[in-house]
Amino acid sequence: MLTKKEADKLIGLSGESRGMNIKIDLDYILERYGEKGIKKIEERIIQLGYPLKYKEIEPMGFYPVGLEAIVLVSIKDVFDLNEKQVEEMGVSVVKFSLFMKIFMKYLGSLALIANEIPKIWKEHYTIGKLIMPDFSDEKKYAIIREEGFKIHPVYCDIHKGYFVKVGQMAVKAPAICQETKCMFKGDPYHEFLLTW
Amino acid sequence: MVIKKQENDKISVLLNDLNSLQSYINDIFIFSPLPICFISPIGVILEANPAFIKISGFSFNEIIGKSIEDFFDKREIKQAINDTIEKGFVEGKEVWFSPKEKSEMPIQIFTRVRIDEKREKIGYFLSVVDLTEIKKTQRDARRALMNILEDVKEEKNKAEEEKNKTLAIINNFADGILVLDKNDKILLVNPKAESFFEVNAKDLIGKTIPEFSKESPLLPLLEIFSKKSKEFFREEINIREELILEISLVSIIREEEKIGSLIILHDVSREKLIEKMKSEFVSLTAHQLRTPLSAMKWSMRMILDGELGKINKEQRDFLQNNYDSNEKMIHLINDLLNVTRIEEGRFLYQLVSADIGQIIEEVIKSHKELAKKRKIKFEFKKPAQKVPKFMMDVDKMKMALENLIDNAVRYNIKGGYVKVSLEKNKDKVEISIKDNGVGIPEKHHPRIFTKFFRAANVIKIDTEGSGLGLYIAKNIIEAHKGKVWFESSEGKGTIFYLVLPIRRRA
Repeated sequence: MLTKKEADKLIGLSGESRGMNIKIDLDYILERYGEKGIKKIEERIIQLGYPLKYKEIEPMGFYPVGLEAIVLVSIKDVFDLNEKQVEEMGVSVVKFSLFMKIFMKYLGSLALIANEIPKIWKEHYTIGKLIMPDFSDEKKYAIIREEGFKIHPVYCDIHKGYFVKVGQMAVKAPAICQETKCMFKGDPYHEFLLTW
Repeated sequence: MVIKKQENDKISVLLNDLNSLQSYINDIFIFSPLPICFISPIGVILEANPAFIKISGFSFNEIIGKSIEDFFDKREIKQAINDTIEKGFVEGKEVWFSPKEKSEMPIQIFTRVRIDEKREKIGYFLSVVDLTEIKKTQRDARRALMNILEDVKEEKNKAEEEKNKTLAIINNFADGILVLDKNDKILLVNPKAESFFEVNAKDLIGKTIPEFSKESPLLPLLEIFSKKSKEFFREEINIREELILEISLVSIIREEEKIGSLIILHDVSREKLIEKMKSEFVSLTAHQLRTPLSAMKWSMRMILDGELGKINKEQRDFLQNNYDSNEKMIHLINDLLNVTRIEEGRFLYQLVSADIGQIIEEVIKSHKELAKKRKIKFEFKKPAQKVPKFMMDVDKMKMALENLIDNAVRYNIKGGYVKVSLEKNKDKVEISIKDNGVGIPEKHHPRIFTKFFRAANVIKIDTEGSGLGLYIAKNIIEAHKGKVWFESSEGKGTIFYLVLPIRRRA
């Protein structure tokens, strides 16, 4: 369970996240748990000292990246989600994201995705970067790397979910995503292996 | 510092605009009643609105990332996608859609290719229109139409069958039939009618009877048509020497409206021939019988008058009985001969100018003896206005009056009366013969003037009548262009009325 102290620390991290990122997580809660679910999260965030109303979130606005992390961890805590369930949440929230909808036009080929993926990251965050250094249509894999983005381990699971769904959309087949490198495990970056 | 603030303000305004735009696009997409989805170039569903989710029966999560081919007939959707890539769009193509847990549904799809700023095809929009209800309505309408068509066909077949049956009946009918429409145009002529008139039906159809010329085989029909305006029944016409027809014209009425007429031609040639042969036989027989009966009469008369010697009373009585019977036989034979002549049209009249009053008086006088015997009072009311003499066959007129007056006396009650009156009315004479006798039962009224008919109540009184008297009387009166009829009530009496035209020339 996230403490007030941990929350304060997260808020202190540099970098911003677009309101869309927070909103889609809460969209998922609304879809899955209804208004009551939203209320629970809002109450939890107030307890942590960072009041945020779902309806007041500006999707295009910029919020501290730590606030997004507080919301995510609160969701995990309030609904007692395990890592797998957080990953599933990641799969589901892709559909709510306007940025993803904009990005979807590049889902025609892996090469196109590799070219565009840094741009889409920048749409979401003001820190870190996302690249696809290696991929093969033939061998059916892609390596996705997140650099300079050490916020909270909850992102490892939720981003796995994102990549699974985006991968499915890109290759028209069910995909599996594994985190092969993690900054919280001492690696210089996060790296994910997507196969299908 | 000020510039930085202005830039921040502008960014803030732009972000607000972006938020509003995003919200606006989202609202349109969500609230569109038309199911819409966005497909990637490789055929993956990337976005779907609530209407599409609803029609598919899948959840949002299930739809996104799924291949579009999973929702449609593969061959049909591939073709539609190819068309979209090639032409840029597909308009209203009908395909089969496979929603979750539902049977396939017919839909129409509309697609538009999506192109980015580099003119690259980056996917396409696809919307669907559910045709289930339309197809169901079409099916129902088609079924209803088919049912109607089947019913119509069935009714048509029935009508055809009925028509064929009717035609078969008409064509095979023993009588000739001509069917006319309401304007008297000939619609149908059956084979029998063709043979009667020795014509071909196709030469008659479409024409009206008055259109036929005097040379036409239908001339006899034309003549009868010109005489009779409306319906007629059993009018006899001679078509040829060996062909006599009875023609009837009846209206065909449907729902109180005349829709045409039917001419029925009944061949009575055989009946007429038999009747003629019968008359000839009766005539011949009667003639053959009358001669010996006349000889017997005169022989008996001579014996009764004592010209051949004296006879005793017993012998006279026997002989008188025989004489009376012989007289009756002669009377009957004369009646039969008269009937034969009437039927053969040989009832020739010797027309002379005569006084009808005098004839009546003579007839009454000849019945005085019988009336006296039966205590019947005779009364003859003479005309107030003098009746002129007019042309008549005296013997036949006398015969007619005798028959009527004889009946009045013979079938009267003891002590009854017979009142005869004669009146002149303009150019006619009116005679009535009234009695208070046994009368004629009502059920026998229609047959009273027919040959050999005798009412049941008179047979009980007199067994010897021939039943020819009134038949002969009627024919005589009508031959003089007159009329005869009666009023009678059983047990109360009868009045016969005669009207004769005063004809001063033959």
